[in-house]
Amino acid sequence: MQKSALKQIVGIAPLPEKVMDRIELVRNADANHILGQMASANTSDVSDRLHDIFRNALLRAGHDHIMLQFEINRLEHALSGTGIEPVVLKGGAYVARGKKAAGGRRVSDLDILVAEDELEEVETRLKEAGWSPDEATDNEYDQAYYREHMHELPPLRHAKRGTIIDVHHRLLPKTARSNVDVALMQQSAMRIAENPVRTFDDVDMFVHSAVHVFADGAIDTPARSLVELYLLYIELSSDDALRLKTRAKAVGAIKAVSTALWAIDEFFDEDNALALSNEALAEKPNFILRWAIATKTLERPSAPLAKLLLYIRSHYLRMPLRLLVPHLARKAVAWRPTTKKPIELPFP
Amino acid sequence: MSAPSNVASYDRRDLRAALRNGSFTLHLGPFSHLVSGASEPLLDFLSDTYRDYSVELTPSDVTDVLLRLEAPNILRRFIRRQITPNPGFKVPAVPLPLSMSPLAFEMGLNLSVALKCCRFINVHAGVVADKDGAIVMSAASGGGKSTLTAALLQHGYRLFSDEFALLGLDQPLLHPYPRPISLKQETIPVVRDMVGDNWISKVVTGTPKGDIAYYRARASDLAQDKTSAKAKLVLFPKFEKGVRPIARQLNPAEAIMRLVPASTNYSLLGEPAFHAITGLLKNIRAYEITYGSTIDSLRLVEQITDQKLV
Amino acid sequence: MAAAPPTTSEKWSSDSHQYLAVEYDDTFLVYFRPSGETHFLNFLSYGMVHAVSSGPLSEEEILARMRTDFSLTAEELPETLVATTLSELDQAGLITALDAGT
Repeated sequence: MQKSALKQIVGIAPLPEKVMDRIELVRNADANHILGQMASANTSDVSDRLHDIFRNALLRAGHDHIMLQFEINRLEHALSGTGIEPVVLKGGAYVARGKKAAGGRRVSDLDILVAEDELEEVETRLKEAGWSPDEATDNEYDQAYYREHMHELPPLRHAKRGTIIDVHHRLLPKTARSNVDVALMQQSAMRIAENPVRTFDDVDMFVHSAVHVFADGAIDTPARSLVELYLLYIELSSDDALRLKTRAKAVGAIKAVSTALWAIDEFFDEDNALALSNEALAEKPNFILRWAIATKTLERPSAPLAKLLLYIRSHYLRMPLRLLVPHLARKAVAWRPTTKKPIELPFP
Repeated sequence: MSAPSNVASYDRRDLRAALRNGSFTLHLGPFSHLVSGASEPLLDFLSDTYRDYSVELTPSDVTDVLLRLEAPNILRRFIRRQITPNPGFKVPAVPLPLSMSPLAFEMGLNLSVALKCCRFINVHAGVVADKDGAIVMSAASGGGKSTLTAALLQHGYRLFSDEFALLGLDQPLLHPYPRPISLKQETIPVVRDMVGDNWISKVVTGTPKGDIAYYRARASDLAQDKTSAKAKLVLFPKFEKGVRPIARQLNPAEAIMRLVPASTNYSLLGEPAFHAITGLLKNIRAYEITYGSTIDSLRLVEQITDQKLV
Repeated sequence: MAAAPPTTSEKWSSDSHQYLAVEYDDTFLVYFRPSGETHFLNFLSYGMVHAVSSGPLSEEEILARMRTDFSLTAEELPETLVATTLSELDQAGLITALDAGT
């Protein structure tokens, strides 16, 4: 993917003139699951045929959004009377709040955050209301792995609707090297209308997205993640943008937030974001990390190496070494039959 | 950029080059399809079965479908060559020997339209139409739908599609998408006898679905591929050997209950889909017809339409 | 299984703006806007959704209303059938339980 592609997708650079280039851009946006975002952002200067293709993507996203709102409704129903006020995270929150980041975005699962001591009751209530452990993870190893080391219950699937809910009680795994002060973030979450379900405020939404991308994930969907960060960023008021640094420091997410701001400047030429990033951090994110993010996002030929690096980094960030080896080994067996042993590379 | 022209008007060499460059663009009904992956069996198939279809060698705009026919791995590009359709999303496609390229092409287009194009409600059903309107035929595999479709084409109907009923979201009209009719196993000789050898493609033998051949769409049907129609009848045909022909009228709700699971995207499309499917069944009737021969099935359709039951 | 076991004080309601219904003989095709799902309801299920759309009713009131509206005897329409149907409609989101207090 060309570096300009991300800007074209979010509508801040004109679409390519040449038909074959346009086709390639659409193909890329689709493969990276951001065709809907592209459709939302590019509403003018669109041929009938491109409009048709955009419409396909928007119809799909529209379905996801209805589904998601209904899942929130069912969640409230299942928890009614408990006094529990879960925080809806990520896509669910963007849809519920009508954020720009929701426009055309596909959403498949509902992610929610509750306090650790509410976990048991939430699980019981959800199971009573028809959710049960998803088949894919309904085995002893995965169940134990999720409960002991991750930051969520194993995914629950609704028997009738087939939808998945992920219940988190932290934003990063228990075993992660760094962790964010989730309690502090939960305190300032706000209700959606008069319902008990809440979302983070705009600043914390950005902070969480940054944490999710840069402190947690293997950046498996780099283009999609960067577009999301960009869309959240441009919707921040100037006061909110100034508040980012103090907030990130307070909740312990300064590295992730600075990296996110650096990336927003790098890929979308948002000078203000770079200034904020520079101010927050004395130095840029380290060279290897920057290289890996750029390489993977732009799908350069060295992308497989960058992916490996990021994958290892994500596991390094998530858990101490003691756990890293057995889990990677297991995934290696389950997912990549060609990999003979756990990867041994120096950690970035 | 050249204006679209039919496949037969191009040089095989130019077609090959366009497929190799990934610039081969097929226009049909509401969709355009960009295809890459040249092979001699595919070129043979296109110059025969697709001779009257409208094609551009360089796309004039973005396309609905992006289909790559490619080797499953580098080795299979050279040794015991194989091919697999890649519509841009994960599909459970089995690699096929290169000689089955036509099948990979047809499968790839079907998957793309079924799973990617949601500007229409896609129902897995055959559709033919005459001046009074369209007949939608939804049947399980082996229900004799293709044979009945082929038979109706010999009796004054034009082809919309044998696989996809495309129902508009804004207005409950059916849109033609006249791809070749896929014939399996024992239906091949039946349809060959009915329409003549000249209309049937070379048989692809030993596919995962047995023998497969394609009944070419007529130029007259292709010429009307932009002319939509209102439905006049919904049929659920059932072929059963030796059975006495019988037609049973269905409650429209039951007909809808059967059409919805045959749709790849009804549940995705929400309220407009609800309006469209109830609009489709408005003031028309639905029947389940059971028969043991093509003649019986034609007679049943004739009785239902002639008695002005529709 | 409903999430919260019904209490005696519970009343049911529905919002007629949230669904579209087309009648075919005694069957109703119902599109429910909040879930985006199409449901097929028989006259009784639809009758119950419709009955509580003009004002909340308790299970007992619904039972009585259905018996009168469709001229059904206690044998033809037992309490258990109404209870089961209400629970299914509740699960689909078509009706909502309101506490008498709220």
